[in-house]
Amino acid sequence: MSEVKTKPYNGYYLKPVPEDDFLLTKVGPGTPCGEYLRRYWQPFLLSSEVKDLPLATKLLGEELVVFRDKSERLGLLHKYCAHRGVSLEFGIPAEKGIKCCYHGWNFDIDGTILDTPAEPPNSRIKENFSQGAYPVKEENGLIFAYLGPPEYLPPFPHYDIWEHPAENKLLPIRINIPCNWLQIVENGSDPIHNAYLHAIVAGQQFSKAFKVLPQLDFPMTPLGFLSMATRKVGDYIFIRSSEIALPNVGHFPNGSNGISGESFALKPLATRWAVAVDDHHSSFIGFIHKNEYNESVMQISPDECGVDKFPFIGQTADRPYADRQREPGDFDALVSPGHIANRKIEHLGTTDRGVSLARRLIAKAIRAVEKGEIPELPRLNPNGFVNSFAHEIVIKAPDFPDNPEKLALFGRQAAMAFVELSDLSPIDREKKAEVIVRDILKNIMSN
Amino acid sequence: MKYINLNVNAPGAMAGSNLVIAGDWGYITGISPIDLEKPESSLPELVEAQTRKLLKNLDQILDYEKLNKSSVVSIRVNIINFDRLYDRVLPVIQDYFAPGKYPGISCNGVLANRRGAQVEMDLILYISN
Repeated sequence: MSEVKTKPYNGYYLKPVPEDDFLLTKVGPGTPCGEYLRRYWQPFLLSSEVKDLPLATKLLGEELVVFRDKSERLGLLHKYCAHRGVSLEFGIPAEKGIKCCYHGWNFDIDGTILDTPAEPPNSRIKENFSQGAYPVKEENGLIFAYLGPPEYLPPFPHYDIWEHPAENKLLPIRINIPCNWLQIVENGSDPIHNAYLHAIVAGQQFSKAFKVLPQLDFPMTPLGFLSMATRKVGDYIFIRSSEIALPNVGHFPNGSNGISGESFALKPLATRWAVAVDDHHSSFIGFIHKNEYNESVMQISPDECGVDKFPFIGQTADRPYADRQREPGDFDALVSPGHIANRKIEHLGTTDRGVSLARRLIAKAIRAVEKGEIPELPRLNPNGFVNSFAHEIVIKAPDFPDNPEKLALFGRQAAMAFVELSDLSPIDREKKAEVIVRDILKNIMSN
Repeated sequence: MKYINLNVNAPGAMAGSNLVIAGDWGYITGISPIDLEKPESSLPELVEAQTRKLLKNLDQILDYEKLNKSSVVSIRVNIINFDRLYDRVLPVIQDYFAPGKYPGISCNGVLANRRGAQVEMDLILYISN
């Protein structure tokens, strides 16, 4: 059969095999992956999307309604009224909670039935059950929900880099992507695509520095790994480390650094969650970090951030099809394999180590939840923040030897400086890491 | 009748003439974000940017006939994905005109525009000499 695989015109023998990739891709209630993802706060809408009327929405395969009551409290309830199943998207927001339009049953934001006006005054029906409800939280213009067991409510993951630098402004974004959530996670775990899709093959989307083929590495962090690329670009060594944090968070440095000066920066451009709407649809949702560092290499206009907006080419479906074919972007790479990529037809190479690692870590965590264990959660530091590790290092090293192993070694050691200093604030970590990285460079150069 | 065609060497930027003048009235029909000089170039990704590009094309046509935006009497805007994009297109159009001197504007949701553009417009101008 291996002979057949390499013969010309062998399509007949290589017909795709449909695969039901159940473990990692199915997210509905009761599925192993769905149960795992439910153990984390998940953002699902921008605050600006929920106005005066209730909004029907979907998260992890569940049909839900989100609304603001007249006391400005946000509620997230099962979509269908517990009485007779009418959708609460037609409910009327009340002073407390929402009233079903059909018979006026009034549900509080926690699902408690406050009133069943059509029932006799002495009816105790409302004491017997409630409307399904989930806790929600608004943070910097995003709405988060927790759909897991109430007894396992995790701490809210407020990342340290949201406040770094002090003037950092978070611009919420949400892009509807018609594919499974795992495809988005895998894209972030695949740093070599930044060279090909974003610089060499599809067009000059990232800076020219990305045309240089890098050394790849995937060192572990407390809740995931760095998806990193180390390049020698002219007189500089350029390390770009994205962070992949389980289950579906990513922090990504910008791709526009032209490499003309040194930097040691924990200042990613984007924080994103790959949130499963259902098995076939996802939200690429999170923040763009608008600050002096990112704006020194690219323009960030609030007009270019929001629902189905992103300040970088190729992230939405909104370009003409032919333009997308001429210069494809991430959106096209994510969606074109189909709603759920058929992983049975893949042939993974050495540069796909990050993709394999992401799958292995997620599968392991899913199995742990299946066994009744609590999965690894974002840990809060003493200041109440979750440390994050995505960074960019640009350091002058004109005499660095033309030696890929040494370059990879330097990249890994330098990146780990940012991880190992995790008890420091981002600003202190940047300062301290710079000193350590310069020492590492000296050591590697002298050996 | 007068038929205005800015870039005869770049056919395809618009389906017909850039501007047709009939008496005191001018008609610009099917103007889109397609570049008038290089119609083959990519369209901007976001609908706001496409609308701004379309209005730049309008400026170019008006300049050519020494007209200005105050001669625009009405606009019909054709938008794909109307529910999603209407709120994003309208403020860009309103920004283009002087406050209090908006032309009449109607917006239609359409299945598709030429070259996959998200927005296209038809305009009527009053040309007083």
